[in-house]
Amino acid sequence: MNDAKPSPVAGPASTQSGVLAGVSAMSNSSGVRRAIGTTIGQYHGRTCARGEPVIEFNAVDKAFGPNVIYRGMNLKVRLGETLTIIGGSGQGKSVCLKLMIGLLHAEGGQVCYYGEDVGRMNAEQLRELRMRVSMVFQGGALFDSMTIARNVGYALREHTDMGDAEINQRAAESLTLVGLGPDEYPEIMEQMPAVLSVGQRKRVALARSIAVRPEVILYDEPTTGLDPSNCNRIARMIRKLQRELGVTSIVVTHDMTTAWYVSDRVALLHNKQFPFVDDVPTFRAIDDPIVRDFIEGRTS
Amino acid sequence: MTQPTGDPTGDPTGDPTGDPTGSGAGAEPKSDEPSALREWVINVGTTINAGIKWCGGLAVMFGQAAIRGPRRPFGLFDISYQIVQLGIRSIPVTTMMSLFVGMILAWQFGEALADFGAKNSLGYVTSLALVRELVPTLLAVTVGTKMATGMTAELGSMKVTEQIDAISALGADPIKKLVWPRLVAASIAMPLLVAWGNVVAMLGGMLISDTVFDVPAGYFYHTYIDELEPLHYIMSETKALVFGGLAGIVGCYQGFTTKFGTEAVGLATTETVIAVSVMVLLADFALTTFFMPIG
Repeated sequence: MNDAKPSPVAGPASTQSGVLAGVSAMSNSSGVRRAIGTTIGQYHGRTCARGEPVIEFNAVDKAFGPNVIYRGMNLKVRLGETLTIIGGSGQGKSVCLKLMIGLLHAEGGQVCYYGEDVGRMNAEQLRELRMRVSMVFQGGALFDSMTIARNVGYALREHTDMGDAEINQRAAESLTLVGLGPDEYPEIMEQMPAVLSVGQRKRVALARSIAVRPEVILYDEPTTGLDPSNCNRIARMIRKLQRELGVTSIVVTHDMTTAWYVSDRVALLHNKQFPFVDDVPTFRAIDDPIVRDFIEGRTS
Repeated sequence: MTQPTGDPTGDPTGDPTGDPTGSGAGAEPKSDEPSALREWVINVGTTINAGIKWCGGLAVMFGQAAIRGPRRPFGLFDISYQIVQLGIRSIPVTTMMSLFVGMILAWQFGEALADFGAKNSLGYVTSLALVRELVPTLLAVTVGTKMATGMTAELGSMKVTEQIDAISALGADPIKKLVWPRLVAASIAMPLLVAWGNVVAMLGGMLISDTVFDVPAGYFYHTYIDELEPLHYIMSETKALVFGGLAGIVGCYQGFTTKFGTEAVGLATTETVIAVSVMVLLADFALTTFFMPIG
């Protein structure tokens, strides 16, 4: 197993009780997690303690025609951690996220969530999975034809019987969490995505993904195309959401500054596998030229 | 980690053709004919294979929409919205197309009939051609293509910007959310447009009949209506229903299978024009073959 070396989950794990208290407070105050039925660390009667693997890739093979992306790839994502996936462009980092959420299926091996093979889930199980594991797409992927409020409340409207007023309130809560609350931006709820800046769209996309209070959030290059201050804002937001909602985060990025800031562990995709997976201090100390070349931006 | 950009094989000849046989340098020149034939056969095979895959994909998407679409909630708001987008907004072009088709056909038939002194039969002759064939087919090729390309461009853009993936990622069903309303709306809108087009085409015929051939409009109307039987209306509307459904499913399928990049959206939209036109003509032939013995 590539990530066999256990490393303590930094940050959130050290304040575990505080986080759980925060999550509990959030759950009770918003009721969204209760409405959706997501409970961190519990799924279909199975439990997972913080630091234990919640998502596992076991000998996964994936190819698009002749283009092999993964060959016998193994990776474990632990509950409560922020795992950052780094690697060259076009090597399949985003594919990894899409396999986790069942948008793509592996040709070989298993992608397991609480031990259940995502590839074998039926439509209803996948729907349930996607209520617990949400994804923030690279460009935001906001629905152009809907207002911000409808975008953020989309999943709640689809999967709960909450009324419009309640959904709007949840949308406002989620927008506030990402710094775009109606108190600061009074007209944001009725605005269309086209009028927002790229950074704001990414934050709205983040708000949309947290509206269902997921257990795991997948971030596909959250800082790509943003200026340094917005990169910093998004990175802090990822940390804040982990702290306040207790979510497990998987971040795909090229931006090493963001990676060092948000990560508990870092995984480097190389040669269709993850040969280097470690906590940040250990990863930064790795002397292998493959790792050094990547993190130092060398082209040798 | 990106691979080194240099030649990974270390081939000292640096063969720019990438000839896997390594026969580029110093090999005897070969005749082009066998390889050209082979390439032609491969191309034909690839095209047939792609065509079969395309038809299969279309059938699968139609099946998925037919199974998942009618489940609750039915998405009546989305269907109504699409009917407005596809149907109501197509009324001007439908009116113009039908009016001119009616006028042109009446004029052409009128000239031919006048030579035989049979211009009073103008209503009889034009009615069957317009109602059974020309109005539904021409509207399908023009308005149906307009509907389908609109769907392809919209859904293709959504695909490129990952909005379709986002719908799935939020636990909703893109087939139910995007394909079903468009398919139903196109299947409802097209028969309504064809019904309206039949009326307008008849008015166009009346206008030419009265002004060019001195056949009174009232007489034209009575002969026109007398010739038509219920089966002809059924044939016209059945064709419209099928053409609308084809436009809907082809437009959606092309949108969903758009490759990445804005250029791909343009390519998919262009292919939709051809696909809808061909499919409509094939379906027209099949339906005509089916209805003619009955009529």
